Amino acid sequence: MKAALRGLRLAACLGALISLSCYPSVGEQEPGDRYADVADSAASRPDDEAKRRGATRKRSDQFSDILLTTQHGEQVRFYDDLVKDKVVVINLMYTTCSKICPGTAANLVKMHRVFGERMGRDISILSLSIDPEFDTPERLKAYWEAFGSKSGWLYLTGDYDEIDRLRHDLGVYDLDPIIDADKTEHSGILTFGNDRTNRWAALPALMHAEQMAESIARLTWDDAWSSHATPTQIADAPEPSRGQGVLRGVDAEKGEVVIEHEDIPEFMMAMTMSFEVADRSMLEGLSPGQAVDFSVEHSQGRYRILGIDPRGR
Amino acid sequence: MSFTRRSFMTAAGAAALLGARRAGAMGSRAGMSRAAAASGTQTKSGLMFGYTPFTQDLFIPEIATSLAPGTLSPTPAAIAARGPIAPSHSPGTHFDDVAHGIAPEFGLCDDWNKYGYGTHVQEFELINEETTHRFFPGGPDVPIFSYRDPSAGGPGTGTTPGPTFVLDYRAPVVLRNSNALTRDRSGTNSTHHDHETSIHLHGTHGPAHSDGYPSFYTLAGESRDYFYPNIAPREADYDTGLAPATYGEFDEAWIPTTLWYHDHAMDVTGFNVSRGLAGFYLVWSEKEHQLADMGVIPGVGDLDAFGNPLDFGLALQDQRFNADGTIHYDFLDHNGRLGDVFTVNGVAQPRHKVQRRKYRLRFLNASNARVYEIRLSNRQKMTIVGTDSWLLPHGIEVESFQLVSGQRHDVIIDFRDAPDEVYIENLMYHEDGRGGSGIREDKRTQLLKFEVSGSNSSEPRCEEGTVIRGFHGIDPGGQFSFHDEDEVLETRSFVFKRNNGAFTVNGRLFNPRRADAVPPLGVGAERWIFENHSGGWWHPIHTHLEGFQIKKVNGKPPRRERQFNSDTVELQGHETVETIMKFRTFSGPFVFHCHNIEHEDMRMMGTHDPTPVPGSSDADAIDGSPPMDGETRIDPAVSGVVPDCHELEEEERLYYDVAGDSERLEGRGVGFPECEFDVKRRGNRGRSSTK
Repeated sequence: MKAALRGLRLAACLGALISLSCYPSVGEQEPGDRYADVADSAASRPDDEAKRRGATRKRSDQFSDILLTTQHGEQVRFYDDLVKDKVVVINLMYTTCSKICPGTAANLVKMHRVFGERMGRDISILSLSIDPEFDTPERLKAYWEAFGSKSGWLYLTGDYDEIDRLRHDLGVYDLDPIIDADKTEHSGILTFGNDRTNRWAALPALMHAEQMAESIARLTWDDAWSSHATPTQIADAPEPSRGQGVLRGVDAEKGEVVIEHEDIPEFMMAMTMSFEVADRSMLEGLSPGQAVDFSVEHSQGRYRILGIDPRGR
Repeated sequence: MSFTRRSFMTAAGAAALLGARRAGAMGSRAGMSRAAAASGTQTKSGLMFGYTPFTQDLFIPEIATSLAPGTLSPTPAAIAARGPIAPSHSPGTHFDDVAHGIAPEFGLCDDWNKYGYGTHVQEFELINEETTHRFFPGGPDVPIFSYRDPSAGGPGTGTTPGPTFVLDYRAPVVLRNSNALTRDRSGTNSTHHDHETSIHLHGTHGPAHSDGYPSFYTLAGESRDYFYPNIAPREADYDTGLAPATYGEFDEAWIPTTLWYHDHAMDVTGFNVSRGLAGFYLVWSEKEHQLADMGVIPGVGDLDAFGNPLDFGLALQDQRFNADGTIHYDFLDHNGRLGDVFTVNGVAQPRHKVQRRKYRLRFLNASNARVYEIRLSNRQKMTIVGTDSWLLPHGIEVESFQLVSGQRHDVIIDFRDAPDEVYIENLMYHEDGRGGSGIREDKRTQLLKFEVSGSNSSEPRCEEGTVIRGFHGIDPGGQFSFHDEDEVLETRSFVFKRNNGAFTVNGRLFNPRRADAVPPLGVGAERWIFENHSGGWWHPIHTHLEGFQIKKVNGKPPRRERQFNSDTVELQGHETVETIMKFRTFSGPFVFHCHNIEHEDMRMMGTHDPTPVPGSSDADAIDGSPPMDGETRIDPAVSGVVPDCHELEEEERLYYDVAGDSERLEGRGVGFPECEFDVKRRGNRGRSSTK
């Protein structure tokens, strides 16, 4: 089995995602003159007002301090309540996003395991809905519960325009307006930082979860982290998640199945989607319409069925 | 080992992250965009420091101080002895020459250098530290990161660019890099947190542990020794009975010349480089000295009537500033950092006096994202004698040339018929950081002013066709040669894309513990095809360990001067570039990546891990062997984690369970940092920060 797995590639998953294909026209950036010859600027003067304000400000100064509602129905300010003087990991998602968002959430669950007791104390996750009109606190709560009701993890909704502005503040945008209008294009990266030290970065959301945790800890580490001596829990090798559903398609050629499945606890909400199978021999004797039990893992951005059996067999 | 040094403070004093405060606590800026409040400094950089361009002299970095072997204390061997490379892992005593181990290949060759067996002939030292720097005449002194040569000056005397290394071909050296960018050095690190660094010697052919692999850090407060053999790649020699590539002739088509060193630390390279961590590294071979003796190029140490060198580097970097004069860096700009102030060697639009004679200018694009198209204001032709790290076979005259991030052009400019004022101009326009937007005469920018004086020299010209390599009749060696396409054993395509906001190579996200290509070491050649499928984004692609020869750009030959050796190639939107590469001498891991550093920090990288092919003593045996892509023979990155140290058990568990990998890594002597690594002790409070 292991040997069979080795041949499979992350490419199989990511390759199916939407690719960029057109040259971007100029988006919302400032006029090009901004980068033109400064030789003409000899007469300009220091910005006295800014100088008076003193030291270099923080990156978070550019975050809109918008009013948001958590999955628990509580109202919070994005900056003052959630980011100020804290370490945060921010991702953009929406509950009806079928491909990248559940993968990201599952990956964040893995990262959550690495940080263990530190979650909610030293570091927190902010999952910001970019479909806030549909994603009510109730829907977000169901989503949060589907991924294990993890501590230190807030799902946030609010006003569409305000969240859209915040998205730009966070650097999660594309200068090509066509791509920028595609919500899935904003769900693939994590933005994280420590507001105390003003150190920020972004990484692919589907990267190896332990490495993600390493980068986040390395870049955001400061005395406040160190002051908590509690050992961080290392994840045991995660057990594959178990699900139930109805087989809707079998593609022996590609080694894929389509399953309409129920909620898979801490893994994925109920939906119909295609999975690749670890070994094509599993597909023998399966046909659409059958009720099945299956085990599935998510690894480096790919969902893979590790075992599948008709129910009751 | 006890954990006593750890602080077991209660959590009471620490900020609870969430839940402590809720709605209602907000007041001040309710509903107001904090961005609006902050917008002032984001748009006015450069315009607010009124200054007169071309009134400040060009800065030319000092030559790095060469120390005799044995000067560094503790000696590199001593560090190695107390480091994680246990004696049992060291195949020979001379492996202790450098901390963190030396690639085993060294043990099999007794002719690494012309000076003696298993040694290095010079030592150097750099300290990474914050200092202040003045970009504008009369402007504020602002904090930068610098590489300081401690033999040349005390704390605060570091410069950007750092000292220029001038070294001999095949003369191995050890560089000790000490990272003083620690958070507890109040007053000398205004960022108040630790910065890990990793020096990459861009264009070098050297062992993986000294290549600046992104996670082979020099941690804040720690030192790390880098071993630079300064060699050309060695051809495989199958007659020795040894594994391929352990012995053989040096491929003199790849004798290095113009290299540069810069930071390459994972996720933070853009910040570190934009703050000044870069410098020149020049290697001279006998044949290049002969070229100088013939008067074709200026020689080492040659000065003009002003006492200035005739051969110097020009690091082009665009900068952007906050209102208080500090360097602006947007951690969350993933398009690519653009500045609105053009600096050369760390000075905004400087001037420089020259005579009416030849100068050798080593142009370097040290910008994070900006592309330059360089021309002289009087439109006189320039003679390119080298691209990236290597000399061309003959001079190529051009009116302008393009430089993408990381590229170098080694250029002879002959001012003998020049007017009194000549400017270096940049014609490439940028609308944003994703790539160049085309040549725009109306937007051209003057970067540097030459004030030309004196009468015309009568020295030999260096012009179109002037032989640079393999001067027939004088020395038959040193000829340029192309890789033989018949030697290609494998063709690999690398597709650079952006998926859901993240950059991918062949659909995969970078993983430092996975090799994306495992070429057989020292056997044949490979065709590497770089494809840009990311819309209008430009991606300058850089390969470590070896350069490549560009065969085709979109099916056509590349620009004339780029048809020889390169280590970085621009990949404009929708372009496909076909190259021939060899992988010789050193096993991996190495990275290849986009040199738009914001893209690189978003992990637009892959790992190649050239690996000896077991049991092959003959090239034919390689043919037909299964492709090795994706098979990670060695998991490359151990991000500063040393499982052997008891005190680190906790952190080890936090990050990786690498027990299985570490043994193999140690056996190969790759990339281990010092045993004292401690992620929680990153600032190393209580320890002296250097040595």
